[in-house]
Amino acid sequence: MATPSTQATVKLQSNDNVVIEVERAIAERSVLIKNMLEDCGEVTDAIPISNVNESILRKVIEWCEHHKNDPVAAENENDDSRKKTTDIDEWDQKFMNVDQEMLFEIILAANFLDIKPLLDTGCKTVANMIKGKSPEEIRKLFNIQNDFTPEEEEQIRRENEWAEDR
Amino acid sequence: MGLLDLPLEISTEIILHLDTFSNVLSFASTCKATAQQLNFASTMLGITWPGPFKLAEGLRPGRIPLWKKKKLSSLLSLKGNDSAKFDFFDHDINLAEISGITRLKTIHARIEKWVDQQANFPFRSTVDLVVPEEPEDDGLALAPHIYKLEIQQTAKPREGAKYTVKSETERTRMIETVYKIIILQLDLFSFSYVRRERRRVLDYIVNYAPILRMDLRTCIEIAVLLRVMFLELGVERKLTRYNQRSSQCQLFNTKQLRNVLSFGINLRLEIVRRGGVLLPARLEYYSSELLNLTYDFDITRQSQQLSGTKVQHIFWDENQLTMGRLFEALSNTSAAAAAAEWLQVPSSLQQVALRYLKPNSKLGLPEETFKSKRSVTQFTKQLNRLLVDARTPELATFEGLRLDGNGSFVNHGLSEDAGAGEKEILHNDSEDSVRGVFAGKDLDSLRRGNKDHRKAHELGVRWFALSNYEIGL
Repeated sequence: MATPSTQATVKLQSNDNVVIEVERAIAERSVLIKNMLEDCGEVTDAIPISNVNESILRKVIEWCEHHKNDPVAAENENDDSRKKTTDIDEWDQKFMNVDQEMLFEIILAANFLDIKPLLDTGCKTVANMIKGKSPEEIRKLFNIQNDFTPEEEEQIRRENEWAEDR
Repeated sequence: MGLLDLPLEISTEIILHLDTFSNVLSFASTCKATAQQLNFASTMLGITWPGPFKLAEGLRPGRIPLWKKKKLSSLLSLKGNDSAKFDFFDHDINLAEISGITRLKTIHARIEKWVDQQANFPFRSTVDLVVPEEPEDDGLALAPHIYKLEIQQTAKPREGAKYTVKSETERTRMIETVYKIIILQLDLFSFSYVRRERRRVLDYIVNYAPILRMDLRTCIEIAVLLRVMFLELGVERKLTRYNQRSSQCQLFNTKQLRNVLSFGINLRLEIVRRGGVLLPARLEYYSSELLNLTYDFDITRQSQQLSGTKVQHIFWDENQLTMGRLFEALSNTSAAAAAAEWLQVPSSLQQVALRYLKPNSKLGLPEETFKSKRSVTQFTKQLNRLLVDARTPELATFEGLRLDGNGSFVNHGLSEDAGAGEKEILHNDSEDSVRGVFAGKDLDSLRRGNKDHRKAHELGVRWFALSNYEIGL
């Protein structure tokens, strides 16, 4: 096992070969990077983040900087079923106010880097975009092609009738 | 890059954040890919759904092994009298033949119908938490954070109607509670093979862990609906209402569930009475009939006997704020510690007990509590003292064990010593193992014939020595 490192910063390299130096504590919001640093000890070379480009990596770092003092959630923390899943704090709402392409890229990066709170925020943002919309509105919003036949669509409509809001 | 380009695990995460069936179904109806995503989420990840699928957790396909389901059917059937069948949904179509969304929708529609037709209350009442004046000389100073719960009847049914009207949110609250009843019923039994006259047969014992995981509020909500929906309406009437053919009644016998539930509520009320932030005036233990519960924590000693029906205020919209305050206060450990000091009950015990009983708490007490044999003995001693002080008439011993993912001893846990036919109960250390809490008496019946009980006792932790008052262990 490597000895714990005291280095203050680490370098991250995006898939378009841009190296960004960042405080270690901030980088360690990513469980992937944290584990890597713990396993390797002192890392002088840039850590390649192969699935993430520069602009998304900078966005993710911005999020990590803002949330660097947040308590780390327990691994198996139980969900509170009464908790509203729509609760996203104001800063995060603004942070996620980007075009759809970037939003999905951030979600993918959070998933890859194993930053659960950021992934949750991204997924909640998308869920909030979906809530209260009809299938047609969702298609329009996300540019989804309707590939159901009219018969299939009619059957789905009938099946789903029971769940329509009263 | 678009929504459909996200990997399945992420689209599932997004689905998990959609709180209502209508949102989920709208999403799933946009195209074939989203329909498949939902199907994946509903069949594979139902357990983590914080909204509707979480409620249907106990019902997701494959949740109950067939052998267990069959055994439950026979266990819970009442022969000869009230026809009761475990398989409460299978009265006109075979749900085993359908899966995914259709299955969930069918189940959900039936539960809604149950609630609409059976969860009915003759009046509404509001509750208030007030700080009472000092009682007359009774030799006791008031503990901090003591409230009086005032209950006032506020509304009767409209003219000509028998019951008060439920709002949509109240209806939803009740529907969620019915799901919890069903899940509790499914998780209540742990199975094992036992030898009877040279034959190995499937037997069961009651697992108290599911009820101990629930908080007091949930327990009371369940008790109210069990009373109103399953006891106060006769089974015959239910038969007529839900199924013209009485032989195919889908209702289940809730007796064992009520026994365990009354145990859970009594346990929590005892904790509250001994050192909680509220002081009940006179504690009437809940019986398995869920009839009487003194619940008004009134130090002026003018408590009322409340039946399950009367505790209905827990569901009304106008009481949610007060109920939230009440139950938050009950789980507030710092306030409890202050009360513990006042009552001269060891605060460590209070903290441990409250930690154990808090909503969503893991059943496992902190490992350090049990790191040595001495600390286990100490812990049990403290609990015994609490119970003896509480004048409980009889003590029953409970033990904790790890079981396989189905909560059973069938595949693991019960080893049979060939030759002697002896058994010892072992912990299941697999990753998906779950914790169970059993009456020592029940575990002993499984061990019967085993010369050496020490292994299980050493491995198992003596959890609680508690009153079996009115629970008929």
